Amino acid sequence: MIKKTALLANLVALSLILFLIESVLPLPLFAPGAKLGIAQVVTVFTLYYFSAKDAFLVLLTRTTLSAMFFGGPTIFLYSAAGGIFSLFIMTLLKKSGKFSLYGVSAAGGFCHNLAQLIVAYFILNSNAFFHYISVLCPVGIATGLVIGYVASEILRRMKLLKS
Amino acid sequence: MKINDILLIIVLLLFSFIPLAFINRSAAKIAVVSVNNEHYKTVSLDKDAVLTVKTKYGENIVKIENNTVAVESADCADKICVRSGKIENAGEVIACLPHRLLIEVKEDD
Ligand SMILES: [Zn+2]
Repeated sequence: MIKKTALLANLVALSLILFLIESVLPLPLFAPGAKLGIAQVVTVFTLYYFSAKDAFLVLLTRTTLSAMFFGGPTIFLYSAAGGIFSLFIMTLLKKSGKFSLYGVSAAGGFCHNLAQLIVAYFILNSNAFFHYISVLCPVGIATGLVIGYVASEILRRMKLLKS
Repeated sequence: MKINDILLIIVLLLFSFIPLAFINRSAAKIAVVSVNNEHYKTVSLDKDAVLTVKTKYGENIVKIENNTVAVESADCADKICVRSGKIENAGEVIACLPHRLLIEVKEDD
């Protein structure tokens, strides 16, 4: 139990670091709020290694902390919407048993960016955000696939370590 | 990867490209700047200019150059608006969520 709590705390710290790295990376951003969402790797890992409930806790803690560090309820709403919606869909897809970690994670990346665009639409009230779906959602799928690969490698090694 | 994963990805990709059908491009363009859903200023993209948008949320320096518009600098926390770069086509936007700022390129009509 203590070991699990410690690991979850480490996962929060790790996702916070990934989130920080991403926000300082000079990525060529071709759309408002474009983010790869690499901190999602922690969510996917936690979902598969522990449970949806634990993944939700880690996600919520990370989102709250990052909003405290960098400014404001708007950023919180924005990143929480992406993370929570994506986790919700990933949990459903995983439970269905029809998809592998790759499909689940790709859909997660897609939903992450879709939810953020929808929040941006409501905050700023502009239809223009819908045009970015064509760019950001495929980017989300690609990121999701890479995240799926990384998460499955980590899971494989963690399980080897466990036995 | 399973066949289901590939089908899922194809469906998601198809969904992503639906909005492309609704985009159109044409000649004269304007940039509409709004803050917190309220109209702030409309400027033409034909003429180079620098616009300082100073509100209670913060400051963004908006630059219009060669029919493009960009946020040159801002004092927001995330700098996403600055990194969004230049936009020029109708329908494109630059947003600064911390400052509730939105710049939209539209057709002049
Ligand atoms: Zn900004």
